[in-house]
Amino acid sequence: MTQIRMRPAGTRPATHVLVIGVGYYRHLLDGPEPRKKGVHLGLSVLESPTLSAEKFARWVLGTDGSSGHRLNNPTAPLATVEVLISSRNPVSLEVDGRSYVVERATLAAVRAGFDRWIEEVKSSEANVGVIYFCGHGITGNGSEHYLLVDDHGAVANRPFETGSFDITTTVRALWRVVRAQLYVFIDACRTSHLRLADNMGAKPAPLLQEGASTKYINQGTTRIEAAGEGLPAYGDSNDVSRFTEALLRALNGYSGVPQAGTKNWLVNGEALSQAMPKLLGVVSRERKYYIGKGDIQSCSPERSGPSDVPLHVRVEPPNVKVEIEITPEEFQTHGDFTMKDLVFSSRPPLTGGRTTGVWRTEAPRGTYAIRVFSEAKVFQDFDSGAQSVDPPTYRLPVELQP
Amino acid sequence: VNRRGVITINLSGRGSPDRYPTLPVKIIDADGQVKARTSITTLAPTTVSFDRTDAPLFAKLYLPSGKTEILPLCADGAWTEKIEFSVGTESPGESMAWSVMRIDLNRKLGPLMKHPGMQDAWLQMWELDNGSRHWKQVPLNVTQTVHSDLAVQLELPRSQQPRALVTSLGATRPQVISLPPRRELMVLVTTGHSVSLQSAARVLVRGYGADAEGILEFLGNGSIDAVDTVLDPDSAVAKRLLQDKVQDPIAATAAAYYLLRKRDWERLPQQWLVNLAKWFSWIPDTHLIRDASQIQRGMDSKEAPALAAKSLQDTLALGLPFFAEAASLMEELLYYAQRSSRPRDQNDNALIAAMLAARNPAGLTFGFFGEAPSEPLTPLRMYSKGLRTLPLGAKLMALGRETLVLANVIATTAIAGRLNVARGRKLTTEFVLMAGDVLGSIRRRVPGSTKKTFFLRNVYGPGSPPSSLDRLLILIWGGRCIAVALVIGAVWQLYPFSDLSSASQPLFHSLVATFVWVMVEIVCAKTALDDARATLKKIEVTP
Repeated sequence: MTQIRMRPAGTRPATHVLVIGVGYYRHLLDGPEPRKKGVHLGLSVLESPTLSAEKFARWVLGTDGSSGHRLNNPTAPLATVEVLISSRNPVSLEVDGRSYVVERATLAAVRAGFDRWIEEVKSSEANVGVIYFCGHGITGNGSEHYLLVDDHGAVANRPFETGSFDITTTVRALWRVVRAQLYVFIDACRTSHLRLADNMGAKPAPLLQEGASTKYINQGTTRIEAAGEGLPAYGDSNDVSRFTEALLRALNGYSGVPQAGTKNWLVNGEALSQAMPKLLGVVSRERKYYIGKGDIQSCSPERSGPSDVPLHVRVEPPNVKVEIEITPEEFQTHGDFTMKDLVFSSRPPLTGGRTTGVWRTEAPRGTYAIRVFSEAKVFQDFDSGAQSVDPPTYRLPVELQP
Repeated sequence: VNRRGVITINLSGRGSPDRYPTLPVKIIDADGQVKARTSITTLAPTTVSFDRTDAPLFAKLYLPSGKTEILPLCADGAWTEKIEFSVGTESPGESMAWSVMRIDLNRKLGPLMKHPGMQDAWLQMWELDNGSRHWKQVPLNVTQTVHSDLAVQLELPRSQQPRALVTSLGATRPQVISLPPRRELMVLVTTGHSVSLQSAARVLVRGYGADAEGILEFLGNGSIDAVDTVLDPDSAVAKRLLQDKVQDPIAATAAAYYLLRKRDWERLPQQWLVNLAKWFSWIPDTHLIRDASQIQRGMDSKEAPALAAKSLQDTLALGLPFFAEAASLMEELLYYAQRSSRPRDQNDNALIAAMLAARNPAGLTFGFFGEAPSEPLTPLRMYSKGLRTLPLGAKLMALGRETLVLANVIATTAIAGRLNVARGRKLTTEFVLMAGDVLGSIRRRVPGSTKKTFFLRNVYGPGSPPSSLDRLLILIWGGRCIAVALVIGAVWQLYPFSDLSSASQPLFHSLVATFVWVMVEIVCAKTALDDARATLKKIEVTP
């Protein structure tokens, strides 16, 4: 059991997080006890999910020394974190001077962790529940998404008996049981596998089973999966996966909507839904990995329910990656730009330019006027007028006239 | 001192005003705090009141594409009484201006037909015979075609039958796209996307009505907040769609999707959904919403499978759901339907499961990968189909295609450092594809009737397919490349790289130089080809 309790039991409302990362699959290719072809499904041990899950857990706990950020939710402070990571080497987390050795993510451990998590989340409708998973994911001949955990294939004759669960049905069942706000982040492929499709009903079970007799009571869910239907999600060995990198960026300052009546910025379902597809694109582009011809890994956030309780609250306004694309290209090295804040006029304007390619800078969100000019009068000045520069990215194409 | 301000906001749209949906506007302060919110249309100005502040305020307009526009409410220290937003101005032509709501036209888009495989792109129309529940291919009747370098727009006449478009655009699998009956439709083929990092060609369908399109586009992009503003209980749109007698059933269906997502049971009475499905039974989505809503409200678990199975069966009998939002409801209903004990439901369940596994919406429109509406192409089906049904010739062609792609990659790698890699690769790809057009050997198989198939290249007239000059040039250069390749191959046999000694290095270097020269020649040939084409090509219509 790896439950890290940050607040006494009974603290309400509170945030409860379940983190599952599976990289070192025991029975997949390159694992310590690999099984035959029909069991391992051609899938192998991964390095990225363990790093990603550990990084996400450390961010939640505030023990990620590299970023200095942590989950901050004043109305629902962090109370429990369930962490299950299957890694080549054991993972341990230091929290408030106490060391926790993280348990491996076998199906039994995942079920037990989920059961503890759901009891905590159900304790108040003002709670926030978070599920994060990183590892292998597959689909069969339908749209259910199955996630593989540490002991997938332990029983070679019944490979789906252990080591996998149905996250799609689990979330749907949660809507009948949990009133609290939910955030579900699934960093896994959604590619089809023949073995599962041929399996004639022996499909992985959900973590929660519910009939139709109860009403949907969930107040709000934001579910973001790392890949579209039938598509893969990517991670680089020895690095955090692309989706988790995009998620951490969103949480660390590239998303947010203003909280009414305060100076705070809320990272809620609305903010994440706007930011994640764009940030995932940015990360994919930075890592120079394109799927097919020009398309990149993309996610489609799904929101439901009447409310949108924030996951995270920031004091600083979100940042925006600004791109100014100058055409014709020959003017790129002859021009400069200024970005003047139209509201806080005392702020010095951001400047740049005179480079080939897209001009890039970063700015706090706000309302700006962007001016492109040439001191040598190679082209006519351009003035954008008022522009709303919103996170996570803002792009301005400028066609200059000689 | 009266701190209450009032401003009139006008929305002007290029072309006909009914093309644009109702859009949300927020009055915000410097910190982004919302001071007031309203919704505006191109049909009439809107007035909104707000509390004035010492700090500047702005009006912010939200578009379904994810873009925003902002205007200050103060000018030179004085409060403005009237402001105007303009939409549709980025469109290359008036007839396509509606698409500005749904795609980001501010980004640099390449010519549509220059995208890989677009010379072979095609569209087919399929209709459902209600009685037999059998889909058949029919000719694609187009009342008007408008095109520019960046997009093609087809205007389709009204039909009483449920319809579906099957398209093959570029390098991806064919896609089935649901089309609503009883409406004149516009089908836009473009490389524009709302998320600007994607670039593959895709289809957008217009004809559901501006309100429905606005609501569903916002929902699809996760902007529920925007729909909250548009469908505020006191808003005119909400009253029109949800409270009055339903005059626009498709927009009412879109609003029902929103309320179901919000689980706003109070504003979405089950009886209203029952009536909607009864009065407008030709809209498959109304049946799905009604029954999914029933299950979500809670019902006897024993009865849910039968209800879900019947719902899916009714939907298939009516064609395909109109909207992409239907997929999550179908997924939920299927979960229960698979527990139905009636054997006759199992085929429908399998078909729905395959549609969902092959899911690939066309923006707000329901769609999936497939060669016909009743033949979804799941990845597994693609795999097995490829193995079992492809004739030997097709397999050899596929092999040839793969070889050409591989050669392209090798060539690109070889010239890296001498030429810009990205440009070299793009040009080489174009060359390979163009050569493929000429040889006619790597053009992909068109399922169904070719006679009834609409090829996009025909829209662009004779300028796009290789001209005689193109053919000649390609054959000459192709011949030269093959000759050089043969020489390289022969020398390779004599001097394998593993035995490369210092004595043979000059020869090796000369071979590499020859190879690079060939590649440069290809690039030159491409330039010459473009020049020749520019001279010979017809002037294209830019709407």
